[in-house]
Formats: sequence, structure tokens, C-alpha cells
Amino acid sequence: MLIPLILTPFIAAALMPILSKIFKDHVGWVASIVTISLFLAFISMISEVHENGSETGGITWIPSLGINLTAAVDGLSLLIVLLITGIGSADMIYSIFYLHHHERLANFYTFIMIFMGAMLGVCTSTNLIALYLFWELTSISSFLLIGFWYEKENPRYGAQKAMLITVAGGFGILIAFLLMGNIIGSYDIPTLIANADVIKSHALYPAIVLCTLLGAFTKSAQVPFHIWLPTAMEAPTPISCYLHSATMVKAGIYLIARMTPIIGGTALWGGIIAIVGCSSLMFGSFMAIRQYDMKGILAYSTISQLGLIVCLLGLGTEAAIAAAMFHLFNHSAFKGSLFLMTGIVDHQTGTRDVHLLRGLAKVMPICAFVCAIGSFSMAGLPPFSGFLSKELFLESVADAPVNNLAFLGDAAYIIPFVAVVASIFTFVYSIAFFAKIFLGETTTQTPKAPKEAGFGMTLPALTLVSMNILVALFPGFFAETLIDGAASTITQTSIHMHISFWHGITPAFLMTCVIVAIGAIIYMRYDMVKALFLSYSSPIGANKFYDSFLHGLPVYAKKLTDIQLTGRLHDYIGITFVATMVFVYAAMFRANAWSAINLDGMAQVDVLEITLAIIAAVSAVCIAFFKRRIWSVLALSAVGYTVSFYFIVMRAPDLALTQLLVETISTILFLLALYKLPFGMIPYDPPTPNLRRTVNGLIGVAFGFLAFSITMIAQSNKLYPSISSYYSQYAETMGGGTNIVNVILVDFRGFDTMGEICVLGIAAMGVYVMIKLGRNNLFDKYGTQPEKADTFNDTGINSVVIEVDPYFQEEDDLIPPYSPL
Amino acid sequence: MPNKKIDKITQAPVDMAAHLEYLPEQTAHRSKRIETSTLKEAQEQNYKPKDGGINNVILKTTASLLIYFIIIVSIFLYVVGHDNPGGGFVAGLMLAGGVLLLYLCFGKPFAKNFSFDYKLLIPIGLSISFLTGMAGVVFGYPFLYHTFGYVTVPLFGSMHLTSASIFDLGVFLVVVGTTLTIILNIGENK
Repeated sequence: MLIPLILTPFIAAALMPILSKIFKDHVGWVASIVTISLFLAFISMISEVHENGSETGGITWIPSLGINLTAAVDGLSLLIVLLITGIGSADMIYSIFYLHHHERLANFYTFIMIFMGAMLGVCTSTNLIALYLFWELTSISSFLLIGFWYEKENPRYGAQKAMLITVAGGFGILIAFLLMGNIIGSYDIPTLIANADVIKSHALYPAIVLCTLLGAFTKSAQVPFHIWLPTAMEAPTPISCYLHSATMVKAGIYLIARMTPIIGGTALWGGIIAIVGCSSLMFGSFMAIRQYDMKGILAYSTISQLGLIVCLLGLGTEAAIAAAMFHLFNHSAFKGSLFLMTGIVDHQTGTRDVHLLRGLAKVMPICAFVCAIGSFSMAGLPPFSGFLSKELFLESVADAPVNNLAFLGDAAYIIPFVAVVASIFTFVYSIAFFAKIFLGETTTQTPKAPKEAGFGMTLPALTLVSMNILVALFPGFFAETLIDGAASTITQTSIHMHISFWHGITPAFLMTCVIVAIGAIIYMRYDMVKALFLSYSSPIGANKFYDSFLHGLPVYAKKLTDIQLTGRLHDYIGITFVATMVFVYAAMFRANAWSAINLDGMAQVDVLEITLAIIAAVSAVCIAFFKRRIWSVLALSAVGYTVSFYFIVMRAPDLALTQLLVETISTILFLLALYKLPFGMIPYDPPTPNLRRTVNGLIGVAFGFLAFSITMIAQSNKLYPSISSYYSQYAETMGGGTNIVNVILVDFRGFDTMGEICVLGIAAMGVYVMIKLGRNNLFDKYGTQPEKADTFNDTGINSVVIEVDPYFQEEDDLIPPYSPL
Repeated sequence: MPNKKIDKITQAPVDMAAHLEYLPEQTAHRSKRIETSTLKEAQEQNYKPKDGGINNVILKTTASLLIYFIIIVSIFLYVVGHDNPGGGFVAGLMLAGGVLLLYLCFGKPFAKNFSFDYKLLIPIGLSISFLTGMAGVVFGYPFLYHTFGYVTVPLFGSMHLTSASIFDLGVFLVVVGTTLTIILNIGENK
């Protein structure tokens, strides 16, 4: 039952191009129906998960490698899955009204369906490799969706940035998963949890933690990998709401939560997560005040709030983890509704600039209502759900220095301090977000005159924001249904939360009082504080690093490449030979390989063979010393023909035939290629210096000696019986042919041949494309027009191109054609 | 500056081999010569080979006769390949060599008139080889599983047929296509 549910969005994505042809502008409804049905299906699982602990399903994929598409819905998965499908449902309906019908709706819904499927896969997979694949798929679909308006520069930049950063992190988790898989021998998460102690005591444990957290922090936009999230706001608002605040960025948190029973619970794990979470919390709330784009404020706010959740997971106590799950739920509810509200404002006024927006409450009362509840919940004010989780957060943080971060010593007290400061900023920007935009005189500066949006857009926003009130009204019910199960999955114990508004005068309550008091004072001087914040500009920054990296990478790569790619073929082959020789000679010297040469049992060498060897050797030497390419080519083919003669002498007719034909064809090819080149060797380059020639000669001789040595050693030592007898024995009975060579080629090793002919085809396509597309540039180095270049040929084949003029001479070194010998 | 003496010695035979085709006075008809792709046209235009040189006309005449033998030998090599020296690869090279011989003799006009799209041979050949391999899968054997048998055909008697030969046909076509695509494109002038 579970696997079909996960695959449903992918099937819908595959059908979406066809469906969009059938339903035209109404294709969004199809996507909505799919999402809502999935939501209802997962809702119906709640009772079963509560009874059995989890609902599982799976199909085998590559069982020999331990890679299977196994899935399970436990408490943690259930919470995230309901968020994905629930917020997805609201978002799909919203997007129907948000997007114009002339947008590329088929693309939009295809990508978003792929995303939803991938996200469901991430949150339910119990196999690490499957989890990784779905994880990367979310990055890819996010890339496609951020770049939805790819005609514009900024979405392309944002899409690339998000892709590069999240995929780099994805690479990290792949490494971590493979390490864990290697240590335990299984990719199955329950097996790994059972063997958690083995992993934690392994020498590579720190590497596993760092790689896993790299993936989680990049995905959840934690400092310093947060930079992709603000630029990702170039996506259409439903996407920003769905991917970049409510679900995809939660995947990193999910990963941390999922990995906690396996590799969590140590000082390294908790320390890194808590510190990074706190930094993001602080930095995000600080940066949010500086923004003037509504989505910019929300983006930095998301970074900050995710930092809060991450920090709670790092603290790692049962109360902290329960608070993290509770805040995760609340954050999706209030941030999702705020994004949808922002989209409505953008849609109805034509701008998101907070300088232009004033007093919208009078004309857009529903939006004002949504924004008020969302912002107050975000600020942590009663009586909304945000207050409840914020209170739990402050409690855990106040507890941290004496409890589980005690190893940090007095430095641990910085964490409650940071939490309070960040919460003050959060309070300020949340209140300002509502007050500056919705209160006061109605603006007249917006591109479009503001008016309330239709029901299709406001209803999803209202639904999401009503969750903040519902949770606040019935905290016990929500805690019992969703939060307890999720937290229990992480800690592997049974957790029962008791959420209430009034706990008495606790440190957390006092902290809230401080936050509200100082926050209110700062808000009085909001404009001054904002100006002060804006006046500060950091000389270093992750964005600057990213941009210079993106710009510098190809530049330095080119410099590095230019060192090696000189444009001279003899340099290339020289480098290749020297590199090969360094390794092979080193190994041969270490093993004293020459002592293994054994000349016993060698066949008698005839005069004929010696003669052939002399011809081949003389021709080979001549190749290097001839002054004309044509002669070098002919000498080269002389070597080749001599080799084929050897094959005849050795009674290998197949090889001889092939060698002869290959030699003939390659000689023709050489001659045709030479025809394109100017007269002489390299007339326009300075002659090769003697030193270089000597070095090249030595490399050649050394490589020749290497080949000779290897041949001799291989000939003298037969470590294994030759396979030839097997082939000659079975060629007729199994391959149905008496020519062993051909039977091997097409039957015994047919797969090799298959690959070889593929390579041949690809090579032909490559040559064809290079010649056809690069024709105008290919011979430009010599700066001659093609007709003129033709006259400088020295191929000797005049009938290939008949218009060759034998009497044309212009260059000094061109010899008259009929000069006597 | 290259050594002139060596250049002269080495260059002279090349030039003789290369340029003995036409008398000097024919240089005025350069544009016309492009059209002389066949023996008949060459005769009509009364080109006289220079004394003592290699007569291109002989090469052209022989080549246009030889090509039939080359094709037959190529097919022969393919057919007997499974039991005797030969096979699809060699046969393909042989056929490509034959076409190249014509190209060398008749030059660019030949390439122009050679309207057959040899590039297509590559995908066709690859598909044949692949589908032969897939046939095994269809019958429940591994990919590239081959079978063989003896079939009695009238006139020819008992014939030895293998499915590997069909695979070999794919190899043959790919080799012909690749060789011609590479060489004719590189050789193609302008």
C-alpha cells in the first residue's frame, strides 16, 4: 500500500504533459486532487501507525548490493508526510489561482509532482541509498522550480546556486551513507539503529557525522550554507511556500532526526548541531530586519527558525526533541500561511517592497487577518501555537548549560543568551512585518491598486493559518496524534508531552517577558534600528565566497589545463608515456621484474623473422627523421605491413587480414588528413629544438624498452593456464563455428564487441560533428584560405581533389614539380 | 629552413606521382577538370598523360572493375567468417576500403554522386546487433545468447546458420558506416 502511494506523484508527473493537453488551464485541479487524495490516505494511516508503530512496504531493487526500495511510515515520517501532502494540497489549489493560464503550467505541475514524490520518498525510505536518490531528486526538482521563469537572469542564478550547494551537500550524505553501509554491511535503517554502537565507536565516526551534517545543513539552509535560500525566492511564491519554507528545507532537519538514533547522542554531534543551529537562528533574525522584500524577510526568517529547530535537535534531551518536532509543525503552519499571504499581496498590488506597502488592512482584511496571526505566532506571542513551541524552546535552552551541553563549560551560557537576542530580533521583524504593511494609511504607490483576492487564494492561506489557532486550542490532541510519535521515533523512547500555556514562573517565562519588553522598546525605534543595521556591511560573506568561487573555478581550471594542454601532440603523448612509465617502471624495479625473464622454451628465430624485424625497426626510426609528413606516414604504414607479415608467418590469418586492412585504411586516412596540412613538417612554427628532440627520443626509447620488457616477462611466466584451449575446445560445440577468433568476437565475448561497435559509432559521430561544425575554425591556425591551403599539400594524391594545381608555387621551399632527381 | 637537398630528393617522386596527370597546357582548364570524374569524360576531353608517369586512367579503369571483386570478397569474408578467416569486422573494412578506392580514383565528384547516406549504417548496424542480443532475452536466455543450426536450402544444400552471424552483420554495417563517415568527411574538401 505504501509504495504505490509514494509512486503516485511520479506517475502523475509522467502523465502531466498529456493531462495538461486535455485539461488545458484546469490541469492544476488534477494535481490538487492527487495531492488531497494522498493527504487523506496518509491521514487514514494515523491510527495504524499508533497501533503498530509503523506501516511498511517495499520492493527489491538491487538485492545483491543491499539496495532496495523499502519504506516505512513511523511517527517521524508520518508528521513530515502529512506536512508534505497537507501543505501541498493548500499550495496546489492556491497555485491554480496564482499562476496565469499562459504560464508553462505543464512544467510547473510536472516538477512539483516530482518534488512531492521525491519528498515522500525521502521521508519514508528505510534504505539509505533509496533515501539518497530521493534526496537528490528533491534538489533537482527544486532547481527546476526555482528556474521556472528561466527567461530571467535572477531565477537562473538562484537555481544554479541552490543546485550547486544542495547537491554538494548531497554528495556529503552519500559518502556518509556509504561509510555506514561499509561498516555495518547494510543500508537498512533499522539494522543500522540496532548496530549504532558499532558505528559510534568506529574510527571514521567523526567523518560520518561531518558528512551527514554537511548534507543536512546545506539542505536546511544553515549558516554558512544559507545563501541559496534568499536567492531561491525568485521562484513563484507557491514554490517558495511549499519547497523553501514548509517542506524541502525541512528535509535536512528530517535527516538529522532520522540519523539521531544511529549516530546521534555524542558530544561531537550535539555540539556541532547546537552551535550551527544557534548561529543560524541569530544570523537569520539579524538579516531579516535588513530586508525590504517581503519574501526576503520570510527567507531569512526561515533560516532563523530552522536554526531554532536544528539547535533543539542538537540539545538532544527528550523535551528538546519534542519541542523541535512541535516547532517544526508550527513553523510550517505559520510560515506557509505568511508566504501564501505574501503571494496574494504581490499578486494584488504588483509589488513586494515594504517601502511601498502601507495600510493594506483596510482593503485586504483577510490578508491582514492571516498576516496578524502568522506574524504573532512567529513572534511567539500568546495565544497562538508559536508561543507554545517558543516557550518549550526557551525552556530547553535555559536547561542546556547545566544539562547536556555542560561539557562546553561556561561557554554554554552563550546559548541561552543567543536564543534571547535572536528572539528579540524575531519579535521585532515579525511585528514590523504585520504593522508596517497592514496598518496606517492605505498606500497609493503600488503598481496596481490593492484589492482583496478571490476566495481561491485566500482560502488556502486561511486554512493554514487556522492551524495556529487550532493547535493552540487543542495542544494535547495534536501532541498525542503527531508530535509524541515523531519525538519517540527520534529518541527511541516513549515520550508524552504536556503542553499548556501556563507553567508558572519559570526561566522560560521570564525570558519571554524580557523578549517582549526589549522587543517592544526596539520596535518603537524601528526605523532607526533598521538604518543602523543596514549601515553595517560585512567585508566577508558566504555569498562573496560563492561568487568568487563560481567565477574563479573556470579561470583557474583553464590555467591549470593550459599548463598541460600545450596544443602539441608530442607533448601529450610524451606526458602520457612518462606518467605510464613512472608507475610501471617503479613497480617493476620494486619487484625486480627482469629477473623473471626466462628464455627457455622460446621458438627458434628464423632469418625471415629477423629480416622483418630489421625492416620494421628501420622504418620506425625513419619516421622520426624524415622531413616530410608523407614519408613519415608511409614509413609508419611500412611498420604496420611488416607486423601483418609477422602474423602470416605466425599463422594467424585472421589477424593478418585485419592488420592489413586497418593499415591500408589508416594510411588513406592519414594521407587525407595530411592534405589539409601545410607543406613540410611545421613550416610556420620554429623548428623543434634539439634538446626537445633528444628528450622525446629518450622517452620513445624508454617506452619501447618497457613494452619489450613486459612482453618478455609475460611470455616467460604463465601464472594461469591459457584460456585458448577452452575456446578451441568449445568453439564448435557452443559457438557453432570453427573460426575461434570470430566465435570469440561475436559469441563468447559478444558483449565486448557490442561495446566496441558502440564506441566506433560514437567516434564517427564525434568526427562528423567536429568536421561539420568546426570546419571554419579547424585550419585557421595557418591563416590561409582553403584554396590556398590546398596548393600546399604534400600528400601526393592529386585525384582526390582534382583542382590541385601542380604548377603553383609561391613559397620558397616549394620545389618545382619536374625538377630532376 | 629545411634541408633543400633532402627535400628535393624526397619531394621529386611525390610530385611525379602526384602531378603527372595532365599536360601543362591543361592548367588553363582548371575549372573544367573538376567535372572529369569518369574515364569517359577524361577521354572526351583528350587528356594526355605525361610520358613515363603513372597513368591515372589505368587506376580509374582498374578500380571501377575491381570494386565488384572487392564487394564479392567482402561478402565472402562475412559469410565464411564463422568457420574460416574473415568475419564482419574484416568484411566491413574491406568494403569500406573498396569504396575509398573509388573515392581516391574519382575524387570529390564521386563523393558528390555517392548519394547513399553511409552515416545511417551506424544506427542500423547497432540496432541489428542489439536486437539480436535482445532476441535471447525474449526467449528467456541471457542477453546476447546465440544459437545455431543447420538448414537445408535447395541448390546450396545444407547450410550452417548461426544467430551470431546476424550479430556480425551489425558489426559489418557499423564498421562500414564508421570508416566511411570518418574518412569521407575528413577527405571532403571544403
